[in-house]
Amino acid sequence: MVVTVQGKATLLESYEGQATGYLAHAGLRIDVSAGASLERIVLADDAADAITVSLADVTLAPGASFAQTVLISGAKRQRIETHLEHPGGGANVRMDGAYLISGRRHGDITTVVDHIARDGTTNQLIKGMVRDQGRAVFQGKIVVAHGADGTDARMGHHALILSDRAEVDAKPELLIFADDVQCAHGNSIGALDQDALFYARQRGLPLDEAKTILTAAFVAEVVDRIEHEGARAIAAAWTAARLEQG
Amino acid sequence: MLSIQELSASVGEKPILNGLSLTVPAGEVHAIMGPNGAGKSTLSYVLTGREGYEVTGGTATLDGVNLLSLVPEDRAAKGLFLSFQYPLEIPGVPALTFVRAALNAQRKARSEDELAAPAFLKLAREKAAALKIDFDMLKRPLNVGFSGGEKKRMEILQMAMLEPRFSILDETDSGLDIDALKIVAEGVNALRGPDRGMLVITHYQRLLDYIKPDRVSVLANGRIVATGGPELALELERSGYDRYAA
Repeated sequence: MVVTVQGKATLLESYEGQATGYLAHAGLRIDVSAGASLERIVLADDAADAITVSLADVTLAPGASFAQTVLISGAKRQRIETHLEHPGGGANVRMDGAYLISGRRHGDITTVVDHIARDGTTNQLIKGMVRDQGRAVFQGKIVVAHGADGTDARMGHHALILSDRAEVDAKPELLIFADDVQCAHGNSIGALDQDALFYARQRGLPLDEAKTILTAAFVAEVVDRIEHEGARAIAAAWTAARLEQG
Repeated sequence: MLSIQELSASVGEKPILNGLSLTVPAGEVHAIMGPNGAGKSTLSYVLTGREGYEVTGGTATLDGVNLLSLVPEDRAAKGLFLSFQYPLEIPGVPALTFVRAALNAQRKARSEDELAAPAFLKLAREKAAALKIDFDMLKRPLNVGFSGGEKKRMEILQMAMLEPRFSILDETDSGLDIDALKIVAEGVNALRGPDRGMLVITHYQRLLDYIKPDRVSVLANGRIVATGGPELALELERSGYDRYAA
């Protein structure tokens, strides 16, 4: 599938697997023209025994804006992968995502942003929760090519692990070949704040509900960055529903 | 109402409460005073069920129900409330959302109907106005970026909304200036009644000028070492805790 954007557009993409045991591979090519902007929201909901890969190749013209939020709940193997060639020239990229992985599911958010010319910005916030025997993968690569000076790239990945047998594999990579750049990344993995949990329970919230509320609040930072109001509401409801499922 | 017999508890290997006995009948406000490290906060955490506070002996009942066998949220549903000395910040969860979830969880646990949004908002507006809390503050994440005094007022607001049968106020006066102290005390006094009891834990007599206790006890070395009428608080203010600190 090929999407070419001129002007301003919002793309709400939803993967819903009704069957069991399927294998799916979706490919998408997105071109955003000069001065145009696209906000892409992906909600990936697959059957627990499905194997799915979605790969999007994004190309921007200078001065274009691209903002993405990927929300996934895992499958037997599930990967949402985005490759973006960043032309610099004032183009602006937001490359967010969140994973909510329960049961024995696996979910993977992979992104590559290639800054090939000067004065581009990339901002990335990935957050997620794993519980039960779930496994989440975040691979985020930002490349700043030789000559792509003036690049400003920031990556943050923060995960909550809610059970002993859940796992998060994070591979943040910044490859910088230019001199005059600003790049930062932060990565944290932890558990819910026990003091906050006790506080909520003292007020009468049952343990599971307290965990859900605190986890939803943790992930809300990603959802809140969705600009389109309607899409934000859909994403918030999607997230809440995934957290409430046991 | 609240009956504590020979209660002993430790934190880690360290015994903090050593056979503490105390009874608060319905309708009474009982002040607990004592030097730093006497076990005042430990008592409040043991009664509310915080993790890490291990009961090694004795009993604690509320209306004849054994508190010590219940999880924290069930103690709350029985009507036990703790106003924290250091209220927790709950990022991402608006104060209103948090209190409504807590209130409805307690009602559900007691097989009562949930409070619908309009009735809840009306109640919140009313109680916030009484405590001179700007209603817009309740739309912000609970306690995040609030001053010490604002956090204490939020505790009393939650207490006013939840209408607990038995409240423990742990150093509610700390961090309050005199005007805020008066407002908070009025809020607390409004909750006094023949069916309710309170334990007011404080280091200083000042709070008791505004929340007049029926009884005053001195807690030292993990036990109640003296009990008397309100005059005991005045005497402590004059002579200090030295003679109890053996």
